[in-house]
Amino acid sequence: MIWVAWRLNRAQLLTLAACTLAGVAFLLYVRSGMLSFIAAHNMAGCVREATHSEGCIAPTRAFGAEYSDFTKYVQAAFATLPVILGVFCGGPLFARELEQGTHVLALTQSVSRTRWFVVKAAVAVLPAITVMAVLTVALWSVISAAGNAGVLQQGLFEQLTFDTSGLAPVGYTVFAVVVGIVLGIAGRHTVTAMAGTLVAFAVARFAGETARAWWIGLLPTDRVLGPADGSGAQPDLHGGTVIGTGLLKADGSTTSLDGVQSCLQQAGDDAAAKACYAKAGITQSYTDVLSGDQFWTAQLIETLLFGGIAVCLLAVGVWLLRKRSL
Amino acid sequence: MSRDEPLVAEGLGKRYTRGWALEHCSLRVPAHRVVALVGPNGAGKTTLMSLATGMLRPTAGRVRIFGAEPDGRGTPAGMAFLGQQKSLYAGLSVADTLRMGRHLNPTWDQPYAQQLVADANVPLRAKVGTLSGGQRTRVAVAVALGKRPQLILLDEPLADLDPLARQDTVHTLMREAAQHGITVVLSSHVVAELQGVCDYLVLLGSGRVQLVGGLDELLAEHIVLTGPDNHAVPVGGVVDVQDLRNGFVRVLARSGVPHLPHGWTTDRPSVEDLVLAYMRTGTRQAVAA
Repeated sequence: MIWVAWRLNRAQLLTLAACTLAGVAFLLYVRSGMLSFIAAHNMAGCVREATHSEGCIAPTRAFGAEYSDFTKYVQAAFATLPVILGVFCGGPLFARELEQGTHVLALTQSVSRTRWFVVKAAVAVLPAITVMAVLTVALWSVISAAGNAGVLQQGLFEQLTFDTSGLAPVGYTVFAVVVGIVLGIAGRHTVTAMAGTLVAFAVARFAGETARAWWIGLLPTDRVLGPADGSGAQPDLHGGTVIGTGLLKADGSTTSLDGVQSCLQQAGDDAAAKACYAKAGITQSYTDVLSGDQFWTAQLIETLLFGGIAVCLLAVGVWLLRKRSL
Repeated sequence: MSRDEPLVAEGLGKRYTRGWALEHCSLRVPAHRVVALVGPNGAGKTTLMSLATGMLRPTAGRVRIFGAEPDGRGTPAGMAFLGQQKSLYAGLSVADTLRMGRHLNPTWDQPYAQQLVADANVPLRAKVGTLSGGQRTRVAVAVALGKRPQLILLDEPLADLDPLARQDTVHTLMREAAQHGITVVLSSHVVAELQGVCDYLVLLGSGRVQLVGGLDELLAEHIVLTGPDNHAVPVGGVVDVQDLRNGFVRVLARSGVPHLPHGWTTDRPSVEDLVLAYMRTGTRQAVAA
């Protein structure tokens, strides 16, 4: 059965392999371009710095002008790969067989329906996982080469960076391919399955982003304290992101600016402003930082959410196939 | 391999949303026979075949292939199926199609399957999608026979073939069946093509079994009478009375040769006489019901 599944998908798998190689070559070419730019402008230090020192501002700006938009486009294109794989590898996998009646040939040999399903699905899902894993590593090599001169300036939790790094792309891909497979079995129509995959994936990703905005707040954060008037230095985020800011009273309770707003508007200088805070009993300001260390935890959660739904859908697929008259 | 009967149906029924496609079907197919499964379009032939292969699940009753019920774990051992569409993967070469058969069947006989394809003069390297209807059928037959079945079900195998390809295919099937003692169940709505091929008849009409038995026995048990239409039919067991619209009627009856009044003649029925007569009664009964 494995040979049969491979033989039936051979053209597609070879195309996929060729496209992946081309993608990797392209990304490595971009990376080497970035590295030569960094070397030529002597800005290796700026790539590592979290906040840019005086001498880094000009070369970083030049680097941004050259690569900033381009990197965003590459990331955006990359973010569509899971659904493309889902539409083309997952959607037609069973739908085409059921539509053309070729499943009768396979299922009237000595192969059980479950085995037929599992092997065919594996021959679609596993290559898709491999392709995305390879491309994610290649894309990461580009993003990390630009370091803090590139998109990482905005942290690891920036939406597009988060969605195109780590484990998440693989999770999205498994989900998309499985949705295609199950829609194909349920609807027995290739074009419907492909279009349905597109829509279902878009809806799921939108729901996923909404859910993430909530659950990311549940991750442990670090509270960085500073002077009440916010004149302290920006906290080092370590690739993390600011979740919230606010003011603290002496007893440790949090408060808002509302109480001091009118006083601040009348204050002429910094000293007067300081007095406003003191009068309201506000001693410190705080910044809650989701550290970059939480990146992999967040990636794991995102991947398990999409992967978990995919596993449930696979079970539905097996059930449909075993239960139904074909 | 098995002493059980090749195909046994007990009270088998399948209901779709539009109604019963097959109902109260009880049937035993004896071993080493060539069985014609006949009936008009929509009689339930394909449904019966699909139930036997396990592609469909019965709504009522059960079907057993060599004693085992099809359960979705692959076609029961020893059975091969060739569907109406003769579904093959169009993108595969003939050689790869046979290789597929080898990978999907533990009992596969590769030299035999290759021989069948070679006998049909089908090039091994050609893509299945480029073959003619006749060639495709021969490849499909090779895939079905290559697993060395003891029972082969063929759903309208000859429907889309030209007369020459039809003859070749039938010839191959019958030769292999006779040589290897394979039980063949062949469905068709073209009655004429079954004469001289089949030795057992199962007639389905309106989702029910109308007639079943060895062909020779059935033909011997029936007679055709022709006589004036203003007389009572002089025999019992009348199956069908056909008004010839020239003052005569043609009657098919399950009866021995009786003593006939003046004006009546008798004849031996052909397979076509038999089948058409029962098909007509079947349809009338269905309309009456």
